[in-house]
Amino acid sequence: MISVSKFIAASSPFPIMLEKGVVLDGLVYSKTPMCQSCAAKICYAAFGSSQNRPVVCPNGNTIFSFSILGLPVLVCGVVTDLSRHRLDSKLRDKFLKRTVSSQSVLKWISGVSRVLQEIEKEVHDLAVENLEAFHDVLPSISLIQRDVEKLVWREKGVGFEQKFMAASPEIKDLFKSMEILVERVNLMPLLTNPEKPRLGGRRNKHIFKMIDTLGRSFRVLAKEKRIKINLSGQSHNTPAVYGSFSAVPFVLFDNAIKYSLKDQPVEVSVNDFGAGGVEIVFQSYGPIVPEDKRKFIFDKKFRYTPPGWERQKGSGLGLYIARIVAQAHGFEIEYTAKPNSFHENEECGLNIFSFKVGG
Amino acid sequence: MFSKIKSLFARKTLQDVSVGYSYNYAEIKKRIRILVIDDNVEHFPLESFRRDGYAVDHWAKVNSEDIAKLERGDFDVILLDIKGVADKAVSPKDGFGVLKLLKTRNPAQIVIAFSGQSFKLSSNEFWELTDGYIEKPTTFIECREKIDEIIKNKITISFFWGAARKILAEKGVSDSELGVMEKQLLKSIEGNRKVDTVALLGKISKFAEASFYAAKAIDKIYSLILLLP
Repeated sequence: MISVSKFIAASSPFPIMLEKGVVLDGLVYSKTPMCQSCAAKICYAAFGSSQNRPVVCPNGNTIFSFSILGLPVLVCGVVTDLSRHRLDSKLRDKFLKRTVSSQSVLKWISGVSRVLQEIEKEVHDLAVENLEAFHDVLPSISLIQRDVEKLVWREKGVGFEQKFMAASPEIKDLFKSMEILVERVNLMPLLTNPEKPRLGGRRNKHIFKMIDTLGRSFRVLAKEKRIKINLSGQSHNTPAVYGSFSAVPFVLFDNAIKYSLKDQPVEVSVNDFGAGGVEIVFQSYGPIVPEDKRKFIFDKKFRYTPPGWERQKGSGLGLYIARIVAQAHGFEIEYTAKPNSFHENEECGLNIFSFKVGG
Repeated sequence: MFSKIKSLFARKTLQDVSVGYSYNYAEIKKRIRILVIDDNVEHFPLESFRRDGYAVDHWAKVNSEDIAKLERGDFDVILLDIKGVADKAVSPKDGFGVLKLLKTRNPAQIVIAFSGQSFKLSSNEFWELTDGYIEKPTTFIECREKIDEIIKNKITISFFWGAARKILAEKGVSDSELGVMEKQLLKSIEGNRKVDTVALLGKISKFAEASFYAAKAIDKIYSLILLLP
């Protein structure tokens, strides 16, 4: 993923604000002395406002507020033809050669926006192309899924559910593993289609039942590490959610099992809250993310690899996908950790992911 | 308190009544005809659905002769793939073209998007036009849950009346005439007077003669009335 802010900071000829209150000197122009001694800081208020017109500050600097790919950017601390008249005669003479044409600033803004948008489109198209290639795997997955279903239909009983209950543990595990594989494949479009989280509109869902079903599927993966999945709570609410919602508990289950210590339980509680809402909490025991890294855990491709866990594979996309879906629904997933809750290893403790939907 | 008083005086609609009724879904499931249009039969758990008592047909492609069957409303629910299901002669835009044709001609036709293309922004219009979506790959349990949900939400008197009303309005039947029809229909359903409801539907059908699709929607309402307790 291109770091838009790094690219802009490295290429801007003008002083630039990418983070409120921090003005970086440009490649060609540094921020003016008037800017450095300014007390009013009007530019701080302008940050993130994406105004269409440049604004002149009382100190004779011009402020250009805009956004590139959703990132707020401010060109400031620069004297232009629009603001030079604000300077006293001495400063006006001093800045004669340092006065920047406002048109050149606007041209730079337009040029860099266009280039970054084109790059993003190319990256996106490449991701879609890769998914197209992956798409060829779908028929094989479907074929295996149909064969697994045929195995279940051979069992004794009336109806699919009864036959499933009568099936051998191996067939049940195979069936559940396929359910997880299918769900995992269906997470991928969330990375390339920004509209995907909201497709199909909202429908009322029994969240407790959904999480119970998911938990049963994940018991197959949890078995290997002798991890028990315990579901608790009282919930009958059915908040309106998009079809993508199941990606959130799916990722949290996956994460919990992946980074859990062996023989430790994964505790999931689902309780009603507010008017029609549901609160879900995932707790698992394992290495905790250091405090200084916690704000990054939902970022794309971020992976914190605890010491000794180097062999644990992961793409760094799971929590990022969960965040995309959470944002579409209007809620946030919170992560906290209680270090050293039970284990002598200081880097291990209780990992807690929680969120509230509806209500 | 105020909202309670307000609700007492609020005009009831067909939607309120339909929601209050419990349809015999087990019966509905046995009677509805589902059609899956997908060039790869393995994508849909066809055998599982048939063994579970659903009447499901499968077409790999839509030919020009098939369009008439689709337009006739022979199938209650259609699962439609976006790619590889229609020749250029039938639809230059493949599944999307078929979907647009069906939805334009017959608003009462329930179409579920069945595709693995949800990773593409360009296919969003397809998904949004349909009555629901099922992604590929899918499992029998997941697929059945989604289809059952769509059946419960869409195969209702209010859905078909909404479609019929829309078509009749386009054919020039006035709002006030439609309002009177709806009121009478509402009264006879609430009063559990099946015979009166059937007679009423017969009268409405006369209006619907101008439109094959409105008549089809009325037929669906008639079938559902018979299934009411």
